[in-house]
Amino acid sequence: MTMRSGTDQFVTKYLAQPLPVLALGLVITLVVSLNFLENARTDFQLRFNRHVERNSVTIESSLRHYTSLLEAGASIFAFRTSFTGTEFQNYIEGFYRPHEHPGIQGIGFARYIPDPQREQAERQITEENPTFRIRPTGERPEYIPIIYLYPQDRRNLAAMGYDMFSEPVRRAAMIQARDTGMAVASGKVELVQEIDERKQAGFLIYAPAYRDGVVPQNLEMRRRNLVGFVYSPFRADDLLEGIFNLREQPRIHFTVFDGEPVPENRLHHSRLAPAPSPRLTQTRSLDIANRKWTVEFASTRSFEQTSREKWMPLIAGTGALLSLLFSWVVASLSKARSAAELSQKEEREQRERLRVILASIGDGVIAIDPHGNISFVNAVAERYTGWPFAQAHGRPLGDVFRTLNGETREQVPDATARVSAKQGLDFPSHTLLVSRDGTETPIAANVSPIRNGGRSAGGLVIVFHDLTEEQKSRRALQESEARSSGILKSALDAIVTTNEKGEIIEWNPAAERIFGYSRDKVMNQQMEPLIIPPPLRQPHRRGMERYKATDEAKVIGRRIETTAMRRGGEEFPAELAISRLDLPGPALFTAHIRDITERKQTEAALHEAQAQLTLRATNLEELVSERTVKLQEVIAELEAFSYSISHDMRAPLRAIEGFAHALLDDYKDRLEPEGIGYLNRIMSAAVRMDRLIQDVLSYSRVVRSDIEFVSVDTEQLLGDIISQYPEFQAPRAEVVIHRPLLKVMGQEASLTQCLSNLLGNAVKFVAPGITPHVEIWTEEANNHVRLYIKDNGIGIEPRHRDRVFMILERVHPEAQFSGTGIGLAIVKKSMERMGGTVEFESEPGRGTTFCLHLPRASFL
Amino acid sequence: MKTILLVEDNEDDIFLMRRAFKAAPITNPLAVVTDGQQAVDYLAGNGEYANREKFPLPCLILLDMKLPYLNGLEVIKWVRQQPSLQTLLIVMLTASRIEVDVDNAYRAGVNGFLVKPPTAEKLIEMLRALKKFWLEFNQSPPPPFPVSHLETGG
Repeated sequence: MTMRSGTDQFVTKYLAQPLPVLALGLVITLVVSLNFLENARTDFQLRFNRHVERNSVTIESSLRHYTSLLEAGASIFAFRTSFTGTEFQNYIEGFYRPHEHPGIQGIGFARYIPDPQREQAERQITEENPTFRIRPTGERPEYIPIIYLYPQDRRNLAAMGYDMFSEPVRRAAMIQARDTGMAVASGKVELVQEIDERKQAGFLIYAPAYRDGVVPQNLEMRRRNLVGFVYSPFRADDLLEGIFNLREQPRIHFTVFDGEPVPENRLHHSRLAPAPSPRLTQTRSLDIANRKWTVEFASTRSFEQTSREKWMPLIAGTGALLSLLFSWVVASLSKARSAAELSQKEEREQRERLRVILASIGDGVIAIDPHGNISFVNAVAERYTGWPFAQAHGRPLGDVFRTLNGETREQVPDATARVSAKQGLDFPSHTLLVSRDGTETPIAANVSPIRNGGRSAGGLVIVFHDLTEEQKSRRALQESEARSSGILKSALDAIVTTNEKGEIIEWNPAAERIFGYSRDKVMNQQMEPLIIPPPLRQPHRRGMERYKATDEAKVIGRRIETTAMRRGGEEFPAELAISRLDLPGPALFTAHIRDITERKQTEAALHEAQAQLTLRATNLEELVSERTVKLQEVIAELEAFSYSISHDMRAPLRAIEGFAHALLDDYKDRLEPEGIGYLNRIMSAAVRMDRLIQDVLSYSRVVRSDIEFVSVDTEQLLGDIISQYPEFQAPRAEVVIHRPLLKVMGQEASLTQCLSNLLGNAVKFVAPGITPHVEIWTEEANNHVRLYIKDNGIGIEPRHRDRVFMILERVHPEAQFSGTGIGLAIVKKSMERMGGTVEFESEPGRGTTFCLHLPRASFL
Repeated sequence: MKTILLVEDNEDDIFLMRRAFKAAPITNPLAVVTDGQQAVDYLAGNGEYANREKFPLPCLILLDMKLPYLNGLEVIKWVRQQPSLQTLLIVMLTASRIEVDVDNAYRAGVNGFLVKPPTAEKLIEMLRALKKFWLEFNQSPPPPFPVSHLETGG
């Protein structure tokens, strides 16, 4: 409020006056103009700096690029130890293109020739270039003449043979280049190519070339391995103009010096002339192939004209003019206004004050005049009655302030009639205010006469307030009380409340049941001696004292297990939760106590059971390990047994067969055909017995052996099996494999045995005179592979279905189809060991399809 | 003709082997010892075996696995420990095809592993193959010096 009126005051006091407005306008104009000038200057300087930066970078980066061309040229010695002019030219043309690299006079090679080798070198060079002579003539310890220089234009031909080492400026650069191994720019020189009248300042860049094209590690080696320099002569004007011809032309003047900026060092000055006394200048140092150049930049006249500073007078003038205009307008307006304002002001202020007071009251206020018509309604009353003051004004009270008795639903009798001049009157309770839209609000209202200094001023004022919230909270309180008393009665836990002195003030039915004291007996008694066992009383007291002193509680708000005491002193395990009642006034504590005797008993029983279970488990483990040991012993015995079978039991069979064979061989002539027949039977029986033993052994091996799973390529496996046995090949059988076959997880040896046995059966059990035809294919099923082997054999009768997989079971007589009856048993056992299955479908006389079911090999 | 030494304890097998040798036919002299210790004595030239005229060092040993006193494996190990016998050709000839036997034999240093066939016919067939391979195609190691010479520093 004060802020606002402060601002208002300021506005009326000053800004409504023409002179201050004028002054303010001029000040603003000045500030804006100065600010503009400052910005324009900064902007001009920044643009100049940007041009300086851009031009410096252009010069430096172009020359860096040229330098690296030369260094690339010097690396030719990495590829060859010597070269002809044409070879050098071809090599240079690989990366140097005159139109892309303007300002380079050419790229050449100057060869390092110590005096002793001079004659030999000259001979060698003149073979290629008959006019070659080292210039200037005369003997020197070392020469570095120009051997090749491309392009071979008029200027460059003038340079051939020139010993650059004879000239001090060039020599200094060459020595530095040779010793550092880096490309080095020379100082300012006049090039030997300068054959015209119009001469330009020049300089050269030398890239040292060493044997093998690499820069040697130390100085001595660098001096010894030098073969020459790949170098470029530059005409400074051509170079710098050429560089900028390819790019944005410089818009400021610059002069380039080799080293210090003194006239005799000047290499180049740009085409644009500097302003007579340039406003901005700047000097930059550039690093050009390990040599320092200085560039002096200066603003040109045309560049200076781009500065925005020249707009400043226009801005200042316009600002001043506008200020004058504005102040004149203000002057005429303020004169008209001030007269009108003064008269209304006081009255308005008084009324406003009253309105604000009444509007700020939280109660509804309605005033009526002596005739019973409404003279005032405040904002709260407007809201509750639904009548805006403007509409209510002048209406009879009954229209606006309608009331009902909330219990009888009858209209409240007009209270205003009964109001005496001196005393107010309360409306009856249960009064409802009915608003214009029918909303009912419970209210407390009072009507009083309007008095002024003890006498009636005529009229009444009704003041009312909304009871909704009060009624709501009262109802909530009643409900809560009802609810908690219900909870107390029906709770299963004992609920005991004590006051701050430790006296019992609440004792629910569960407490009566658990502790054995009736509510009447314990009310207002000390809780401690009744339910706390003697050993716990001291700690309880200490806890309470600590709580009172520090508000620090160990038990409040937590669930703890403790011991409580019944009437008669019996102690029992209890679960206890204590909460502090958050009410104003002295602290009340409520304890919920649960008798957990039963739970404890159950827990104990559970522990007992667990212990017994653990004991049993331990015994069981011992038993298992004992039996495992026994089992391992049995297996070891079994292994020893089969070992002995394979070694010893087969020996007699060999003897039987062998001697029968010997008998047959040696005594054939003296034997009746019958005797020969018997011998043949003996021999074949012995052979069969031997095979039987072998099969039983492999069966037992399948049963015992550990299986390691690998990915098995069934296609290859079958191919191997078929190629090993003639009986699986044409013309004895047709075996068709429908490639590709899926790979499976299994053990290769076991799988080989299974597949050989199945294939063997497939070609064996066929009707006489029929060529066995076998088809093999795989299908994927649920990450498993089904491998099918289908034959055209005699098939398996349904009644033999279960027998075929049993060990030593044979379906056909030996005379018809030989065999031991172990093959399929081995297949079944092997498949089980590999986590697979074997099954078959057969139609007697038509053939059998065996199906092996195995995990699919992963794709890894 | 170089001698072949057969180490075999079963008389029947020896008999059948001799017949099969004839039938194959392998004409090399066949020396026979019937247990592992005898085999070691023969090779070391102990006792009567010192007479190398009568008991020449063999060019090939056919060795059974299960033998009295020293078994086949022990014989191989002994042979391979003798500097002069390290290259002697030893081929197992046994009834067992149990993997662990085959593995142990090769680890101990045999040059081949043959399983006694169940029939005389097959035995002859095998000896024919043995003759072709070991006695004809195969390049035998140079003959060893007699052990006794080495022991006396000769």
